[in-house]
Amino acid sequence: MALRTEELILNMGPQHPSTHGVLRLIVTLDGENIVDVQPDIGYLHSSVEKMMEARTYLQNIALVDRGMDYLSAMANEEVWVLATERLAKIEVPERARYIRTIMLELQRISSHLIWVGTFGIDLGAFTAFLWAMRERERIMDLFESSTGGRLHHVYFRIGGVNEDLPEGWTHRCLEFCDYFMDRLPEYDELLTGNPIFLARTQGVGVLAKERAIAMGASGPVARASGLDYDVRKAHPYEVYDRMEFGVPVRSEGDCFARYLVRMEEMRQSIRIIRQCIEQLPAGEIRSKVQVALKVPKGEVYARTESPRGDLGIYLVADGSDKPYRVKIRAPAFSNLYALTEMMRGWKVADVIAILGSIDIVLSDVDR
Amino acid sequence: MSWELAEKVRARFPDVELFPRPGQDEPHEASPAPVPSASAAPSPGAPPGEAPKPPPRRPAHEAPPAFLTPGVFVPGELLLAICQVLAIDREFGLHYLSFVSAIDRPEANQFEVLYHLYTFDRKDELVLKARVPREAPAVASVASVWVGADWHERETFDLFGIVFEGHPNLRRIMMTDDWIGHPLRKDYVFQEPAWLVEAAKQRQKDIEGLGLGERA
Repeated sequence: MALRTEELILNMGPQHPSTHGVLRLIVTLDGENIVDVQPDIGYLHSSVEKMMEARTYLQNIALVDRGMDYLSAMANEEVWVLATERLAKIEVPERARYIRTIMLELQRISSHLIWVGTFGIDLGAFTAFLWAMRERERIMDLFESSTGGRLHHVYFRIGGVNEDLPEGWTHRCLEFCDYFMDRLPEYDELLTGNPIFLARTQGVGVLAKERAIAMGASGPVARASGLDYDVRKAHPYEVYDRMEFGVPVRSEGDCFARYLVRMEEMRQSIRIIRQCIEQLPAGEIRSKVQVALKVPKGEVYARTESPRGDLGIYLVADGSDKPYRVKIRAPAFSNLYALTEMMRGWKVADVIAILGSIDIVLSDVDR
Repeated sequence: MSWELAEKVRARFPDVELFPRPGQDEPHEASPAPVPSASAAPSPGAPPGEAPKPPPRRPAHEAPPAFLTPGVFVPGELLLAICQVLAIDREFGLHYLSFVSAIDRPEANQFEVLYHLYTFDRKDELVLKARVPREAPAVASVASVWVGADWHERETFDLFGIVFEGHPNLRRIMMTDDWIGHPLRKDYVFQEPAWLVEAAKQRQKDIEGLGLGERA
């Protein structure tokens, strides 16, 4: 006689150490097997889009820092100033564009480092977290000395950046690049070749390329599934068109591929930073833009490659000093949607590994 | 960012309407503007056959809006049929839906439902806008075309109150299920729910005299 089984509904979160914020997963289990997963989001919703309508273009730079993805504040500032500059037709001096690119890539590394660390913790490898934080601390120091802020910089301005780099900063930044490239092989020893890490990630949570596209996934999640698409290459902004760098793409689509893509992206970011510092021109860092900038009527969609993927802002301006409507296209929101697809059919122990591998930040999902 | 794709859509579906193009469709709205009498006065003295005068400069807030991202207005009832072609036909190849959202236009008494599509083959983008009346905003769901539209449409329903007909699971996603109103509408006024006001008052009473941050 067949054993009678019953489906069990497991409520994970919203307060759970592995949800990286406040995310609730309603997991339907059949024994150990995952039948269905329904993410329940919105716990961190602060209606940033509404708040932005009540602030001036300049004030909004400070808001996107914390209202959107708080682990990559520079990337948020970038997409906001990019949309505004395009609509208001404001030129950005060369030097500022280089500085922005350097900051964006440092931000990418720091965001990926947090991801490596927390992903390690999720899978029981605590050392990776400590090491990643050690490296990230040096990036934070670089940020602090140039922008004054560690997490939320409010550094980019419409038409440039707030302040020039302090003396010796580029030298310290290059030192960090050398230091970081020396450290990266250690992660390979700790994680990439680790049999337990491989067993937990290889072949787990596969997302097919077609499904990734249909679900709107982007960034490292889509690239690990074989989608060769990076906004920095496809629609270059700032000075990415002058940089030589590779876009890592894997075809496996599993958790391990997502790990490899992000590790390689950090190497490529270092390449970009080194080229930027080499080519960094002297000159102005900010064009003259009035504080109460009035953006002419119009609509534009600006798109950037944030550490989490395709980050865009659809900006509607009505000619006043405040935006009429801002739509934030958050990469983590769409990536999280693909979670159900990745998890179906796996074991309950893989929930943490798969959730960790997509690198969500709940303030980006919920906004 | 070329308008080629938008023009192709227009060629295939005559019912769609291109966004006003920067520089091109300027006279469309500008022509009825009356010429100020001050600038018209000296014109009789000008020799005939001279190049026509440039239109008078108008303040920035009167200029027609510039649409920097190419796109088309789509009639709401045709939206689903058009999307099915755009997503599948190789001529367009718009396999990727970046987001669904909306813009509230109370002065026109309508919502503009906004879709951003992308094609990886040609690395090009297209915005679709469907105008729906503000009283009974409804448009067909495109979740059957792009699976990823699911959450985006839920979000738009939640924050704007636009009903996506045929959506598999249309309920609030950001706000709580018992929330009243749709926050991103321009006429939305936030009010603390009664239970929260009561709870805050009770809390103030409880901590009175304890030095735990009473408010005046």
